[in-house]
Amino acid sequence: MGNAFFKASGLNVKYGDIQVLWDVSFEAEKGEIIALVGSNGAGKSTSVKTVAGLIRHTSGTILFDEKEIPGGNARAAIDAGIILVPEGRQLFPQMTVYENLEMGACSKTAESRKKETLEKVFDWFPKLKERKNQMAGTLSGGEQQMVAFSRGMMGLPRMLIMDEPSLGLAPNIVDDIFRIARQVAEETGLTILLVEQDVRKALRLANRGYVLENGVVNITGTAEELSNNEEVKKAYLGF
Amino acid sequence: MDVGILVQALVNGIMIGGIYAMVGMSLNMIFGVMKITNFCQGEIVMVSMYITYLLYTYLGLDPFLAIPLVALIMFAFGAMLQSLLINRSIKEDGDQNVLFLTCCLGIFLTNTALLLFSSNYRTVESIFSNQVMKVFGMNISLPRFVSFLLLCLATVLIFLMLKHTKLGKQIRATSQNPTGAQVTGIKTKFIYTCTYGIGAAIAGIAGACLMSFYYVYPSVGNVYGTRSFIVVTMGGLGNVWGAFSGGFVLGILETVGSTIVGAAFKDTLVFVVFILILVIKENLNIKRKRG
Repeated sequence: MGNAFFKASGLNVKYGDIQVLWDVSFEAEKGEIIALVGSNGAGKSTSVKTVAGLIRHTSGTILFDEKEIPGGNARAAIDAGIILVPEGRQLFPQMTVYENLEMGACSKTAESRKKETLEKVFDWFPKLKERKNQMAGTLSGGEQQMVAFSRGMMGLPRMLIMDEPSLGLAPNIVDDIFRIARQVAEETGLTILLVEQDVRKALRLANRGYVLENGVVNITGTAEELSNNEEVKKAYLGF
Repeated sequence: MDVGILVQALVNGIMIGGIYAMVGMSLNMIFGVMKITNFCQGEIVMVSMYITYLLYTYLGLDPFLAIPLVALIMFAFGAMLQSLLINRSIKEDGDQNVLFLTCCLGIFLTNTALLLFSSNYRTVESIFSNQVMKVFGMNISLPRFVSFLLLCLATVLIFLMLKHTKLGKQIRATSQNPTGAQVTGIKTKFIYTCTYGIGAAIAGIAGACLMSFYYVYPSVGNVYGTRSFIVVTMGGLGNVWGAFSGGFVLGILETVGSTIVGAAFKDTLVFVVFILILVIKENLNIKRKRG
């Protein structure tokens, strides 16, 4: 069996003595949109933070485009093309929108193509162009999420991870961001890893999904399969 | 009381305030980015003063001309302290480790200086030493005035650096949101090392300037360490402009105060005002929270 474009296998992660991920595996093909869903505390965020190098795994491997990504090294993951749009956005509140976006273009290639990418971003979100000299901390939640997504895109990711992008936001803004994410994925072959508590929304965007429960992957399948799965329906979709 | 004397004191206060502002700023920068309280900032000033002294004694370098070199040496010294010692103690748990570490480092540095240089006071000569400028009937010590100008220049340069250079932006980003910095590929550990180095360099510039009109002895750091904490607490920890203005308030308070209440009560006055400011600030905070 050939290796997938992205493949995390057998990830074990501990916070101190407490193990939070147990042999978690998930994979994605190029251009695929994958959703990690599950309830609060199931280990979704921990999984993607591990992939992005913010947390070190105790065992398991992360393969991306046939290269192994070392654990606990955020910069190495970014240089390989894995970029995280973190939960809670994590913008720089006392820097302008423009500066925030600028900070996203950190690798040499991203920096040299900053202007083009910036134009694209302003095309997607004209509102950000209007507000480019405004401090990021003064934006509304939805606008901040646009900045966070765009800041991620400024780094020219080959795989974009979005951690809880819809948390606390108006549905139409989330739809906007998801629409653009899907469009980019289709146009450029960007792989997207989406972490969501809103299972319905996640399965609408994603091709495939993984359901995590207590640090273990329980159910996996295509978005359609998951939407029709009795267990998922009962636990997450409220049928 | 003669108004002329008061104005003279005011001018002197502004000039010594420049030094306090600078040391306070260096402390604040380290706090703002790393969220650690650096208890050996005064001793870092002391080290830079001895370095200025050594450069003068062995190379005949004028303290003002030595500033770039001192700043460079202090940057290296600070970056080394940070990457070899302080960085390792941060990852453990909470602030205590860093607190003990920097506090002990201060004692260590003071006593090393005592061992190397004895407790004698040392001075150096600069081209401006003992020269006085007469402006509107006021006597302005030339080395203090030149120091003040240089400190203003250094402050402007630091602000421009923070505002416009890539490193400066990365420093600001890291101080505002370390997680955000990490996910945008900023090497936060490297930024911490640079920031501590820059903090030490700023203190070093202040130290070299100070050396042109003041003397150095092993425990001189205490004076500036305590002063810089007052400055920073008055202006607000992490607020660079606050520290800057706090420095001038403290300098003016000392000189004007000592002409009014007498030099013996200078420190008393400083601390009384300091406590008053803290009480007023606290009350304002409580009111703001309630309101």
